[in-house]
Amino acid sequence: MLMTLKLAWRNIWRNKRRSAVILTAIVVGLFGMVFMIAIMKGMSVDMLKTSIENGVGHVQIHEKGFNDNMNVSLNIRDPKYVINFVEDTPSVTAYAERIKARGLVSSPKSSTGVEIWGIDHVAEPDVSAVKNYLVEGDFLTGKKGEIYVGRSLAEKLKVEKGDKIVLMGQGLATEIGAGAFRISGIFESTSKEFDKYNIYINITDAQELLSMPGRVSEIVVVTESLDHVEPVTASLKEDLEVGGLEVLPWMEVIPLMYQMISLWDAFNYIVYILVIVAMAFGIVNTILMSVLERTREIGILMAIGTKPGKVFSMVMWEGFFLGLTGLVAGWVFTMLVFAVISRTGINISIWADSLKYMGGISPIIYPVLHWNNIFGSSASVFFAAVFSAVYPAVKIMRLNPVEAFRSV
Amino acid sequence: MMNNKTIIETKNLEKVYDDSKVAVHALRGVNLEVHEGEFMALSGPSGSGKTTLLNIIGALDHPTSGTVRVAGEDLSGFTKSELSRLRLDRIGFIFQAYNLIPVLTARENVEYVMLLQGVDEKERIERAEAILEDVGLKDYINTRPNEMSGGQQQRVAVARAIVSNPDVVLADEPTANLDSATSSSLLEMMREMNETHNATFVFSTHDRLVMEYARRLVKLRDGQVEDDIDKDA
Repeated sequence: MLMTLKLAWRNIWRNKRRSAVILTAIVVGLFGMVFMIAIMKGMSVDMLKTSIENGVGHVQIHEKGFNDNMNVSLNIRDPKYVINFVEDTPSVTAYAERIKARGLVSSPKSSTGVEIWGIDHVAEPDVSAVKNYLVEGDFLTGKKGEIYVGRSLAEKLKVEKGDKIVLMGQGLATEIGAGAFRISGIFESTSKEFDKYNIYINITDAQELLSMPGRVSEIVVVTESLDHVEPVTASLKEDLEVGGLEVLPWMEVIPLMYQMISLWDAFNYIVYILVIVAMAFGIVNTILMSVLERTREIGILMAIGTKPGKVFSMVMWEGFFLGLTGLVAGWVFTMLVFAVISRTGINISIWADSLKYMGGISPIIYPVLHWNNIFGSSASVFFAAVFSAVYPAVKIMRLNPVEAFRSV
Repeated sequence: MMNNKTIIETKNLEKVYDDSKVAVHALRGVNLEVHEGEFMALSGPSGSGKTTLLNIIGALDHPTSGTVRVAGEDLSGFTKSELSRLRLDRIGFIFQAYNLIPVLTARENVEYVMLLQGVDEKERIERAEAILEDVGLKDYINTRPNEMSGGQQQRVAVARAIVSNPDVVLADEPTANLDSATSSSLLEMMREMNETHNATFVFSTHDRLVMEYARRLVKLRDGQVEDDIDKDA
C-alpha cells in the first residue's frame, strides 16, 4: 500500500507543468465556487437583516388575519395580556407595540398612499433600525403631532423638516381619521421605496387618529438570534393562538424573501454540480494523458507481476492526491483572499441607485462563509478529482501487456 | 553450468494472430527445452517469431495450440491472475526500454518485485542493496533512472530481474539501445550472474554480440526452429 501511495504521489509530479496547470484549475474552481456562494449568502443575509431591521423583526403577533389585509378592525384589544407572555418567553431580547394601517399623506404640492406606523419611540429602536436612518432633524420624542418621514417621500411631497403635512387613515369606527403633523425628522434607509411609503408617528397619535384607544395592531418581538426564532414562535403560539391571535415568524411575514433565500441556497447545489462536471472534464483529460503516456511502462509493470487491481488503485490514488493537493492549495488561497475581503467587503456602490430599488441591499457586501459552503465546495472538488480518475484507471487496468509493448 | 532440470518446455507450439484480415502464423510447431543454468539466445530475422515465443514462455500470451510448461507447470489452464502470479514468482524480465519506474530510485525499483511478493522491508532492502552491489551499482542505490546512463539502467533491470531468484530470466533485445562497449559490459555482468547465481537466461536478439556471448543459440525462421547450436557440446 505504501509503495502504491509513493508511486501515485510521485507520478503526479512527473510532469510538474501539467500538474501545476490542473492544480491551478482546481484552485480557481474552488475559489470561484466558494466566493460566489459566499457572496450570495452575504447578499441574502444582508437583505434579510435589512428587512428585519426595517420593521419585520423576528416574530410578529397580530389578531388572526391582520397580516393578510391590515384591516384596523383586526387588532389586539388587550396588549398587556400578550406582553405578559412575551416577557415570560426565554430568548426574547426586545419587543414593541405598533399600530399599522394604510393611509394617505398630503402636502400643498402632492399626496400619496403610505403605510402608517404608530410606534413607541422608546421601544421601537430596540426592535428596528428606523431611528438609525435619521439624516435630518430628530427622531420621534413622544411629543404630540410629530411625524418622521423618508427622504424620497419628502421630495415627492416637496416638503422639508418643520413643514406640516396631513395624514388620513381608515378608523376603527369606519370613519376616516385625519390629522395634521409636523415633520420632526427625515430618514434615509438603503431602499428608496421603503423611504417613500413608510411614515412614523407616535403610537398614541395613531390610536387617536384611527379611533383605537388602548389597542395595537401588532407586537413585534426580537430574539437572541435567528436560531431562536422557531422555539420562541412555538412557545408564543402555544400561549396565544388559542385566544384568536396569530404568531408569525419572519419567514411567514415575508415569505417571498424566505423563498428567495431558500432558492439561492438551493442554487448552491446547481453550482456544485456544474463545477464537478467542468472540473472533472479537465482532470480526466489530464490523468488520461498522463496514464496513456505511460502505457509501455505500465505494461512492463504488469508483465513483471503487478496485478490489474494494483494498477487501478495506483491511478485512483493519483486522482486522490491531485484532488487533495488542489483542495489544500485552494483553501489556502481562498482563506487569504477572504481574510481581506471579509474586512473590506465588496463595494458594489456603482450600482447604488439600482440597489435602492432592490429592497435594500447595502452597497458593501460582506461574503458569508457557512459550514455548508465549506463542506459542499470541498466535497465537490474532491469528488470531481477522484471521480475523474475512474475512467483512466479502468482503461489502463484492462491493458494487455503484450499490446502495451507495441504501443509507441 | 547446466544440469538436466528443465525450466521451460514447449511442444508443438503454434500461434496465429487473427487481428487483421490476414491470419499471421507467428509460430508453427515449436519444440524447445530450456534447462536450468542455460545462457541461451533466440535469434532470427524480424517476423521469425522470437518475441512471440518469448511472450508465450513468459506467460504473457497464450498459444493457439500446443503446450508450454514453465518450472514444470502446464500454463494452458492458467487464469490471468495465475499467470500474473507465475510471472511474479518464477520469471524475471528485462526489456529493451522502459524497464524501470522513473519515479523510483534504483533500490526502490529492485525492491518493487519483492514488495509484490510480500517480502518484509528489512530483507527487501538488504537483498536489493546486495544485488545492486553485485551488478556494480553500489554508488547508485538512491539514484533515479533519469540520472543514469542506458547501460546503468539495464544493470538495474538485471538486478530487479534476478533479485527474486526466478527460475528463468527472459530478456527481449536488452542491448538494442546500447553501444557495443556498454553492451559488452552488460553481457559480461549477466554471464557472471548466470555463473554465480546459476540464473537461467533466455535472450531474444538481433545483436551479434549477444549471440557470441550465448552458450546456446536457437535460430528461428518463419515461426520454426531452424537450428539449435549448443556451443558447450
